[in-house]
Amino acid sequence: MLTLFVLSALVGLIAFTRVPLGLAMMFVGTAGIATIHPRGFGAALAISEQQVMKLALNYQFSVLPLFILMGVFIVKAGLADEMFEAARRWLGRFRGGLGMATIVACGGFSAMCASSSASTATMAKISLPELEKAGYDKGFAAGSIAAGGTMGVLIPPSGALIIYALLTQQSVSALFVAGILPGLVQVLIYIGVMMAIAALKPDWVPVGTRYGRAERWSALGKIWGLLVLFALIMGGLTRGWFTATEAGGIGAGGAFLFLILRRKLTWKVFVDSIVEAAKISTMIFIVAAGALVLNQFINLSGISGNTIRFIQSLDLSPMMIVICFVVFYVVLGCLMDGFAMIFLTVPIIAPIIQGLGFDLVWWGIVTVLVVEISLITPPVGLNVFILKAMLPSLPVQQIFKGIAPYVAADVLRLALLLGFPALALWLPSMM
Amino acid sequence: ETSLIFNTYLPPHDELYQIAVRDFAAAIERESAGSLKVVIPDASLAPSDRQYEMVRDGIADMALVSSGGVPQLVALNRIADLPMNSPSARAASIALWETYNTYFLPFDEFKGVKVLSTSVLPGRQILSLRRTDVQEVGDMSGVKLWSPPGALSETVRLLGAVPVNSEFTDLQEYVTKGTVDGMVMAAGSASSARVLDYVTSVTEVPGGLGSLSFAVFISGERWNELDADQQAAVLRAAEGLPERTGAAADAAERELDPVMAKIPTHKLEGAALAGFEARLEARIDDWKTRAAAKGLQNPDEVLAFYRDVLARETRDSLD
Amino acid sequence: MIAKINLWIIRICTTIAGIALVFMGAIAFVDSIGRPLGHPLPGASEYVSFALMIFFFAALPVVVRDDAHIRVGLFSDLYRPRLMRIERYFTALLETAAFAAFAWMMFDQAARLERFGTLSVFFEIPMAPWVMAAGVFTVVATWFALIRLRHLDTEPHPHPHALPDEEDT
Ligand code: NA
Ligand code: NA
Repeated sequence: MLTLFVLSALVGLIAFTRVPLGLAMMFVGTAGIATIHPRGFGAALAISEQQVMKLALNYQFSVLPLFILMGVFIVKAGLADEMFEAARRWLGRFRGGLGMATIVACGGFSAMCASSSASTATMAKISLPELEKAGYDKGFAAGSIAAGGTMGVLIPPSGALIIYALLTQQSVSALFVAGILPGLVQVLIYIGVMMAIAALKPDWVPVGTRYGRAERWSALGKIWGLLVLFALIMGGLTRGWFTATEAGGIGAGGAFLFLILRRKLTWKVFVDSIVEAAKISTMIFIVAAGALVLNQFINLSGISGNTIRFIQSLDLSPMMIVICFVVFYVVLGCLMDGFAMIFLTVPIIAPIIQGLGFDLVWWGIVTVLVVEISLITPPVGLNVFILKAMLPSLPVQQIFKGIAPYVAADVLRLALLLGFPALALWLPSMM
Repeated sequence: ETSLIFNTYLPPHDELYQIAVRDFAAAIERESAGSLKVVIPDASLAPSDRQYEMVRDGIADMALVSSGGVPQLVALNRIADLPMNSPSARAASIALWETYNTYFLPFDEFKGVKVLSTSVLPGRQILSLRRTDVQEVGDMSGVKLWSPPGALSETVRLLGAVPVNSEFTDLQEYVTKGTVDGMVMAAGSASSARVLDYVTSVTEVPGGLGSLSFAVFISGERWNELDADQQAAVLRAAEGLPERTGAAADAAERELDPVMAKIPTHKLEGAALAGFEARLEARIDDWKTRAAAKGLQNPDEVLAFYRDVLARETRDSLD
Repeated sequence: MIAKINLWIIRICTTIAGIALVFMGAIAFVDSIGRPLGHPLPGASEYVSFALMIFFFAALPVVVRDDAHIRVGLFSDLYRPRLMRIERYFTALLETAAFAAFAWMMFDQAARLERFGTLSVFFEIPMAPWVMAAGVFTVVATWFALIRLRHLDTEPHPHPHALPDEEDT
């Protein structure tokens, strides 16, 4: 009862005010602990302090800033634009070709960037003006970018997978490798969505421009280095040459090299990149720290244990339980930020899933898929808000309408992953 | 009814958890006839290396800490972490407990908490991978051995090998990809890290290259708040706990015997053993120096006492 | 004058965070090369841990100054102007208080670690001074939260989430 009260206070605080999520979780969590811990406020403070320090000193968490820095360097080197340009030249001739190019570029950039909001914002800046110019339906264009941007958390590197690994004691490398195939499937299915829309609503998606062979290959020639870097990182992780943190170091170092080779490196660019990477990482750090504090409240309240016992008493088949959780996640994801959702629920749900005999790497990919969906479902869809911030005149409902086909495709993806765990587990099993 | 929070960072399948935490908690409740209630949180309330601080802060009342986890306080108990001092977890746990009570208690190393039991894990051995094969100390030269940071890494360095530390979660990756040539650990740990299948040979030092010791303790403040009956109940529940945890750890190790029997094993003896011993002596001297600095009058006598208990207990268990 | 001091504070914080970030990358790189060659860097993960902590806390003032927090605010966009103004002040005040409390917590933690003499696992160096440094950075962050309180009315409408910097800023 008390637990429920504390959790509602938190939801109220983050819904009705714009208090930073991390701070809200940290202080509501501390207050909650103080109410249930026999040693009250003193113990609550000590717990919270230790959780914050534990996170700040966590070696595994250092992958996050390094991969974020890599993404920032890639953008500053102008490679995100060229990825889009290359995709556009190869796919431009089809109806919806520019849209497909956007999806492919989103996927490509996601392979260089650990955060979905960064992918979304970057791709929106690059492709939105082009889509508008080409005469795409504004809502659908924005929806495509918002949906495409969700790949940032699935295709490695992924901040969400790093945090999931941290919370469940799984290997970051295995989770990264597990995300590759489902990420590829997402790109293909989203291209399928674009083709379907081209057939069903041709007025939403115009035909693009056809480019000659030379133009196509020259565009690809500019970005081959990215493919090499991605192959090096993922190959190195799969072959076990280095750990995830080291892969982050190599990724950031490689991206820095691109900056030099393309003569984009100035002192200002370097400083701006560091500041941006520091800001994005630290904003995630604050939320993660808050979540760890809140987790201790949940831990002390005994909800997880009670929930496990309750679920066991229901006598459902393991797959039924998994499906219940997924449905619960999708509903919760409508209302909540995906990151916040991971932080709030993984410590409760992951042990149950493991107890049922499922693989936690697979469940990590399922969780991230649900996070992706949460980013684009109303009413709280972070990626939609980013697009809305960039297109203030476009009503939010229009964007959600444009997103609807992608949400439908996501349900299909989710079913595929639940039905065929090998989709996530085959590649890591080769490690 | 008094409620005590007993924190643990160990996973539920760990023997140390099952005996020294779960069963011990149940025994306290039983012995106190319900006047004490012991709550074990679902997840650890503090990181594994902050268990002592956690109890001093009042976050939990009881916990388990490794001797290496409180380097600023504990030097004497590390006698059990020394090379050749853990022939079986049971014998070592009993030896440490008796030595602690006979010699270490007056030094009050665990400041502010009361130690209720000690336990020691089975001695760590050299588990080699691929072509690595250690038969004498010279074979150790340049070999990359995964080992826990701290004392065991120091021992590995002393033997001429290169210690490699990492998170436990990275171990499997290091093993399968050939980042390391072997590990310093017990078969049980190797099995739970899913790397035992890759081991090609074992080099066994009698009593192990070293081990890890733990103390189960209760906050001093909380202890003083308990009434005499409650204190007596806790002590009754703790009786024989070192032996029980040690025996459980040994039993878990023995479950792997069928697997281990298939792996070629060099049991060091004679000149080969002497070669190891000569190098490992420095570790023992180091402990003596630290113990003397703490004010322990005669470290050699203490070591002899500890080893006498070991001898007694290993003899008993053979009968 | 104050603006100039603030600018310098941010520059110092950014420099420290930048050095920590580059250091982390370099350590990871050196260790990954050295390990297969039989020369792992002893204590590599502890170097990275300390650098990571300094990095996060040194960047905290920058996050506050640029208002780069993750916020939810499900309904706050729907408020009428008056309520919106109230919400803004309420949130900003709460945020400032929260940062002050956060800073206090770090000093409290440093004092505890000092009292228990807690050492790091590998290098066995005292932990308290590092946490103290984290506390100092959090105080700086609180200072910037206080400064933001003065500009609440003139600030543009807050965006829902931290976005990568615009090219022109
Ligand atoms: Na990504
Ligand atoms: Na949503």
